[in-house]
Amino acid sequence: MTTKPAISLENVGALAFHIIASRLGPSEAAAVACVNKRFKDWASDESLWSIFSSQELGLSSPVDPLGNPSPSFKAAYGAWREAYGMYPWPLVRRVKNVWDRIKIWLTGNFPEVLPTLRKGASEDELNELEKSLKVKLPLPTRVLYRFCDGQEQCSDESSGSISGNLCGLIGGYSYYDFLVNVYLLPLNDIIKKTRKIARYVKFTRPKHVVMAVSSTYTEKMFFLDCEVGQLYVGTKNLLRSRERMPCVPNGLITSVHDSRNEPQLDAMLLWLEEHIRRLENGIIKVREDGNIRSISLFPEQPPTCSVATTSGVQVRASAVFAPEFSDLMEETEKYMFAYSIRMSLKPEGCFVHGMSFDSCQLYWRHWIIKSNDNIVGDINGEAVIGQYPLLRPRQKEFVYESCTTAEASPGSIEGSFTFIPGRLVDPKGSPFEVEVARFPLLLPDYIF
Amino acid sequence: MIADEIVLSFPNITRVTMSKVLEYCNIHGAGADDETRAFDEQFVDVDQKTLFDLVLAAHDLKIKMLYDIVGERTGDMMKGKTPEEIRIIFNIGENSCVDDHPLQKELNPWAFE
Repeated sequence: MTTKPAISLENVGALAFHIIASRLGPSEAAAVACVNKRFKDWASDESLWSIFSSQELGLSSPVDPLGNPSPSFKAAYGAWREAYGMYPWPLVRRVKNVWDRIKIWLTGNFPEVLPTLRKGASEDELNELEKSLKVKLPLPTRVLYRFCDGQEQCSDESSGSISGNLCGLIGGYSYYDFLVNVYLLPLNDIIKKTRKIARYVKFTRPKHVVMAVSSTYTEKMFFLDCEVGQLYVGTKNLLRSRERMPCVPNGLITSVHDSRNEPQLDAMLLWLEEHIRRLENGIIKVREDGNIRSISLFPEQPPTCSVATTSGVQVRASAVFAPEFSDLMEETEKYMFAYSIRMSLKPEGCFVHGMSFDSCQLYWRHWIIKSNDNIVGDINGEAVIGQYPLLRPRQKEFVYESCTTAEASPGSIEGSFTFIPGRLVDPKGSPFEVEVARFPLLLPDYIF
Repeated sequence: MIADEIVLSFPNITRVTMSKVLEYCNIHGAGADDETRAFDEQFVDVDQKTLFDLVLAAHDLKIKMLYDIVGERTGDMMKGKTPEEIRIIFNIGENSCVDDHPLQKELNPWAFE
């Protein structure tokens, strides 16, 4: 005769369900809820599902995928699983996580961009694009667009102001009169731009789809190779010979069309993950140029940004690779780098020749450009971009940008500025040199 | 003197279960290391009845570490099983609300893929 155990799992479950449930995932808890009514009660406990919702989806309150409140965490979790059931769940979680991180960072650092992020596209809209362009989008890109359908162009709501912010999520840089600010295209613009560019740049199959462009006069275009899942950026020779460079290390791309083999990683997902990592770690930041704010791709931290202080003058310097002006067919002037120099005077003023001064002005620059440690350029000249910056304590950094080409990577720039204490028109002492510490000219593994 | 004569009584815990609990506490008295981890693994490898008795005893005696490992082991026994399999393994009746079950499955189809 078989006897039931004196104490059954039901009793144990009711008592110890938190510790038992810690070993179960949401699918298993949902299965356990079907065993009988008592199990349904403890496996449906809200505290359990709030943990699952928080761990898997980062939800702190029960909301469904459209942002509407759900009656319970269990209901919310189910709604998310249903809405994204056509994709591998770990991929959905990973994509939600990258968009959450982006929105959190924007909220804290550049909230003006948030309204430009369009709400997610539908399955129908994605299928429509695939049909129109005769491509099959990689799985991660589909899921990325389910969460956010690219960006609206930033419209400046404040009245009368001529210059709006540059809201491209990918950001950019400016030097001389070149300005780059890259934003993610919405699906219907992807269709339009891809068709338009196909007339000029005849890619052989598989078709490359335009995913992101600069909103400015400067032509900078990012193309997704849908078959392989790699993202490319056009160089100077894009129109002439379809020349482009990969934006993400090839070896990291995997399983882009295979929903059974985890993880599915395409260049769009890896690119956005790297970008938010840099933003979160302060490697790149928001730049304020007059009234205009934008995400600047000039690095702000070592080792790609150098800093040196001489006699109270601090100089920070870094470079960014500009693929749209690079020409891979060139021998010597192959890679274009834009660089940004920021200088400021310490609060104590400048201390030189045993005396203290409350201002100093730049007069001369000296640059040494190296390629693979060989000196390839030695430049002397007056001023910087035609200006003689006057530095005073507690003022904002004086920033200027310029550019240089390089034959090979890695290269570097270092040098010095000559300053006069006081002002050029009213010198208070003899000139002194201020170091610009070496900063690299490096072809990056991720190109933005 | 009187302290030595206090008699402790645990009507809900059998002698067998209590001796297992004491064994656990003795091994873990000196803190955790590889040996205690190896001990834990074979300690929880017991039949259901013993395991459930240990969960209840650990709960009543408020021995967190023991409670955690036996609770976890119970959870592990349920992983990857269908509701039918759980009922069979743990000898659980379907009780009332037989109708609930198909409804649960429909509400959470994703759990059964």
